[in-house]
Amino acid sequence: MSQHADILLKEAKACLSNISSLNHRLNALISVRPPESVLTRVSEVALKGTESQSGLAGKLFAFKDNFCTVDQPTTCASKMLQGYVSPFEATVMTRLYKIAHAIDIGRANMDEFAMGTDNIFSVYGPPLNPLYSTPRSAGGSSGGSACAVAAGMCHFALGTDTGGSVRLPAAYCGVVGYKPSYGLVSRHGVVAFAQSLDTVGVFARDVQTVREVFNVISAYDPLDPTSVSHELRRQLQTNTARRRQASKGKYRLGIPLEFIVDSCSPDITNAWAAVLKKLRAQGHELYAVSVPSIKSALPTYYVLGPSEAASNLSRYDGVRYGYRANVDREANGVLYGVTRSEGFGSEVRRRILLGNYNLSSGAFNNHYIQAQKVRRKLQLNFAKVFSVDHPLEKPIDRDDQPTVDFLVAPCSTGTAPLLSDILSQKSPLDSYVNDVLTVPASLAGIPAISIPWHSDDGKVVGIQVMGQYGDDDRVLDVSETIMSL
Amino acid sequence: MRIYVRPRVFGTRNLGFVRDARRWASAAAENSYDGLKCGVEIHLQLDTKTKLFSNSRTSFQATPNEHVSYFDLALPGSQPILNKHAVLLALKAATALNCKIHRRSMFDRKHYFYADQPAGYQITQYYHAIASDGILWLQRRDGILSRDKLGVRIAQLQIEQDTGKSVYEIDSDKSYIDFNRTNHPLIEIVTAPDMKTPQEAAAFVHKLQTLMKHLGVSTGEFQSGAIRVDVNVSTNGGKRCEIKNLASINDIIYSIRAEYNRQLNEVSQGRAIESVTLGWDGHNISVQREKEGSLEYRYIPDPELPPLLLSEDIIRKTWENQPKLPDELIDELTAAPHGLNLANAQTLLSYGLVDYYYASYKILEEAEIKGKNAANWIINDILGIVSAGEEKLLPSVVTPSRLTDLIIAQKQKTITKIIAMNVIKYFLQNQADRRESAEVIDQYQLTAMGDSNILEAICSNVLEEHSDLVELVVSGKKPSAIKFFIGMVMKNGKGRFNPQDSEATLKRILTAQHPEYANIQK
Repeated sequence: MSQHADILLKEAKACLSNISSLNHRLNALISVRPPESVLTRVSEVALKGTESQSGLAGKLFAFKDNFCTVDQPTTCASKMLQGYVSPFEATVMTRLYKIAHAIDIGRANMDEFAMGTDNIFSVYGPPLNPLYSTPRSAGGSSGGSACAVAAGMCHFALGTDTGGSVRLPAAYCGVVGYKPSYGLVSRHGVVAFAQSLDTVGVFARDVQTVREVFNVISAYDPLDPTSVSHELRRQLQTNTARRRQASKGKYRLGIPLEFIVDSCSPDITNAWAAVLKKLRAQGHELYAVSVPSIKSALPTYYVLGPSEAASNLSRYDGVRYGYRANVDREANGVLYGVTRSEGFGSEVRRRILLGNYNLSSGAFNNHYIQAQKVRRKLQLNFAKVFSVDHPLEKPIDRDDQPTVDFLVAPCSTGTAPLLSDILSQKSPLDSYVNDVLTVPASLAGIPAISIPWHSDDGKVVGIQVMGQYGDDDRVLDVSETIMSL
Repeated sequence: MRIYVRPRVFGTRNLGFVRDARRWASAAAENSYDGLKCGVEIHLQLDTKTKLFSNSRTSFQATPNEHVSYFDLALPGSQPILNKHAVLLALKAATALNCKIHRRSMFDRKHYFYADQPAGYQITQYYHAIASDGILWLQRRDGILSRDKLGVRIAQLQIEQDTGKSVYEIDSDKSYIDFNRTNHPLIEIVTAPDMKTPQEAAAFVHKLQTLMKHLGVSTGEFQSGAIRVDVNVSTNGGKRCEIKNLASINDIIYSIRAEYNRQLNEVSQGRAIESVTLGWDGHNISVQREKEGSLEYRYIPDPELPPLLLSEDIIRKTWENQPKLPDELIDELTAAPHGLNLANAQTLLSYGLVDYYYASYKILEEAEIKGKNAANWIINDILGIVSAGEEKLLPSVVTPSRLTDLIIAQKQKTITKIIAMNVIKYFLQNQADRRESAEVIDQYQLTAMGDSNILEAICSNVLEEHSDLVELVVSGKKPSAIKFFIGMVMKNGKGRFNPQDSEATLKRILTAQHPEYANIQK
C-alpha cells in the first residue's frame, strides 16, 4: 500500500477513534457509520488513488441532518421527520461521493429545522462544545457539524447557514466556517428553512480544505431554481484572476462601524483589534466604513426568515410522511393541529407563529414588504462598500467613503456561552440578539467566513471576513492570510 | 383562486362543444334580468405534457398516484423548476384575449391546509400576474340576445398549480388522495362583471372554451375537469355572491337564474344580500360558507422561484404566430366561396377540422369538383361514423389526399358512398397502412358496379325472398317499402352498387312482373 493510502487510513482511524471516545459525551453525530465499513471505503478509495484524484478522496466528513440521503433517515433533528428516508439525494452529497470520493461518517446534530443559535432545540439533545470541559454551547444551528470537525471526528463537515448557522458554531468551536455567495452551491435535497437565505456551508480546521470542498460543491445545478448559471460562474472566475493579479496579496480592509455593538464582550473586541493590528503590520490598508442598513438587519431577518419558514413548514402534516398524531383534528376542528403541535418543538412553533403573523393580511404590508425593502437597501449598501463591482447589479455610484476589498469584523458578540446560562435565559429572544453580526451577510447574499482566532489569554474567537458577491475565491485567499497571522 | 375538487365520475365522450348557442339562449329568454351583473372566474388546465413545476407527466384518469414526482408530493428538499411550455401556452391565451402582457411576473404562495394540497400552499400569481386588462368580444351568433356586441373585459390572467383529488369511500371515514392532478398547470382567467344575463355568461364561457381549444391551450372539456367555472352574481349594485364550480353550460345558466331569483327574494323580504359562497347541485342553490374576507391565505412571494421574465421578442413572436382565431374563421367559412351555414362552420371549428377542410377544399377545386363537398362529407357523413376522440385523427389518418380521392371516386361513380365510409373506417382501424385510397379500393375490389346481370340477379333474389312486401309496394299500399329493397340490395351487394342503379333495376323488374306498378309510380 502506498504512503498516501497509509496516511489516509491512519487519519481515518484517528477520526473513528475520536468518534468512539468522544461522541457519546459531545453528541455531535446523531448517526454514525460502522467503523469497519468506513475503513473499507477508505481502503478502496486509497487503492484506486491516483494523482488526478481530488484532495478529498478518502477524506471523512459529517453532514448536517438536513441534507437528504437515501440510506438513512433525514430528520432535521425533529420529531416531525422521525424515520423519514428520502427517496433522493442532495446534489452536494452526490458530488462529494461521486466526484470527490469523500466518505461520510454520519449525520450531524442541529437545531430543529435549522432554527436556533445554540443547538439546544434538537430532538437528540444539544451537542457540547469540545473546546471546554464544562458544558458550553457548540453554537447553532449547525452545532453538530462544527463540533465534529473541532473534535477531530472528520476532516470537514457540511452545514447550512441561513442567518449565521455555519459561522456562529464555527466561531464557538474554533474552526473555519464558510458561507459561500448565495446560489453558488446547490440546495437541491437540502431541507428548506428560508430559501432566499439558506446557503450550504463548509466547516474544516484549515482554509485549504474548505476551498477544496467548495470547489467540488460549487457547480451549476439545473435542479435548483436559484443555482447560479454557468455563464456567471465563468465571469466570476475571470474576475478572480484579474483581481488577484491586481492586488498582489495586499488588500484594502474595511472595519464596518455598525459591527461595533454594545453587546460585544471585551474578549471579542480585543481579538478583533489584535487581528486588525497584525494585518496592518503586514502592509494591508485599514479603513473605517459604514453600511448603514446593518442597523435594521436583525429585525429584517426575523421578519423574512420566519415568514418563509412558516410557509415551507406547512407541508409537514403527517399525511404523506413523517410524524402523525392519533387524531387529525383538534377539538376545535383545526386540521393537523395535533400533529403539528406534537411534531414540532418549541422554537419551530414560535417561528411559525411569528411568520404567520407577518404574513397575515393585517401585518403583511407593515412587516414583510417593509422588510423586503430594507433587505434590498442593505444589499445595495453592501454592494457599494466594496471596491470591486457586484456582478449582478448595475454599476453603483460610490459614496465619498473609501471602498474596500473585504470587511473584517467579529462573528459573535461573545465566546461560547455556558449551556446552563442559555437555559436560564428569560426570553427566547435573548439568543436572537446573537445573530446581529451574522445576519447582514445572509441578507446580502455575500460570501462570509468565520476564522478561528486564539488570543493570547487563551480565548477562542471567530473573526468574520465578508466580500463582494461572487468574490468567494478571494475571501478564501484573505482567510488564509488571517489564519497564518 | 381556489381550486375545487369535483367528486364526480367523468364521462369520456367529447360532447357539448357544438351546440347551437341559440338553444340555451332561448332557455332563459323569457326572463328579464334587470340589475343583474355577472363576472366569471375560469380555471383552465393547460394542455402540456408535463406538470407546472416538475417533470412528471400530466394525465387524466391514470392509475392513482402514477404520475407523481418528489416536488408534487412536497417532499423535503425538493424544488420547483418552471415548465416553459406552460408559460408559452399562457402567453398564447393572453395574446388571443388581447391582454396586456407583463414582461416581469412573479409566483406567490397561497396557504391553506387540505389533504390534496401537499405543500400546504398553492403556487399562483397573486401580486404580479403574467397578463391583465384584456377583452373578449361576443357577437349575436355567439349566443348573446339583447345586444349586437359585448366586450367582456379580462381583469387578470395568471398561471397556477392544480391540486390533487380527494377520493371518499362510501360508508367509511377514510379518504384517499390521488396526486396525479397535483401541480398540473392551470391558468385562471378573471373577468369584470360585464355580463348582464345568464346566457351572456354562458356565451362567454362557451366562446372562451372554443378559443382555447382552437389555440391548443386547453382541451376546455367540462367532463375531464379541464375547465372549471365560478360565477360572481350581484343585483342592483349589491354585494357579490360567488357560485362555485359549475360543471356545464346549462349549470351556468340555471344557477345564475336561481341565484338572481334568490337575491331578488331576499331583498323583497327586506333582508340584505350578504357576500357568500354558493353551491349548485344541478337544481338548487345553497349557501356554503361566509365569503373570502374571513379567510386568511397568508400570501408570500415564492422565495425560490425567480421572477418570470419575458423578452419583447417572445411576446412579439407569440403575436405574429397567432393563428386565425375562431371569429375570423367563422366569417370565412360562412362567406363565399364556402357559404357554410353557421352551425356547420362551428362544427368544423369545434372539432379542429377547419384546416383539414381547407386542404380538402383546395384539392377538390383543382379537380374541378365543388370544394364544399368536403364540408358536407366531413360534417354529415364522417363525423357520424367515427367514434369519440377519433375526430382529431382525421387530418393525419384520413389525409386530405385520401379523403378527396374518395370524394372524387364517388362523384365519378367509381365507388359508392357506403364503400367510401367503409374505407375511412378501414383507415382509422389500420393506421399502419399508409396507402392511398385508390390502392385500397383496388386491393379489396371495391369499385362500384353498374347496371349488370349481377345487380339484376341480386334484385330478383331480394324480391323473391320478400314477396309479401312486393305486394304492398306494387299495390300502392306502402310504396315507400321500395327503400327496404334498396337497402337489402346494398347489403347483399356489399355496398358496391349505387342506390340509384339499384332502385332503377328493382323498379324495372317489378314493373315487368306487375304492370299495374307503372301506374303507382306515376
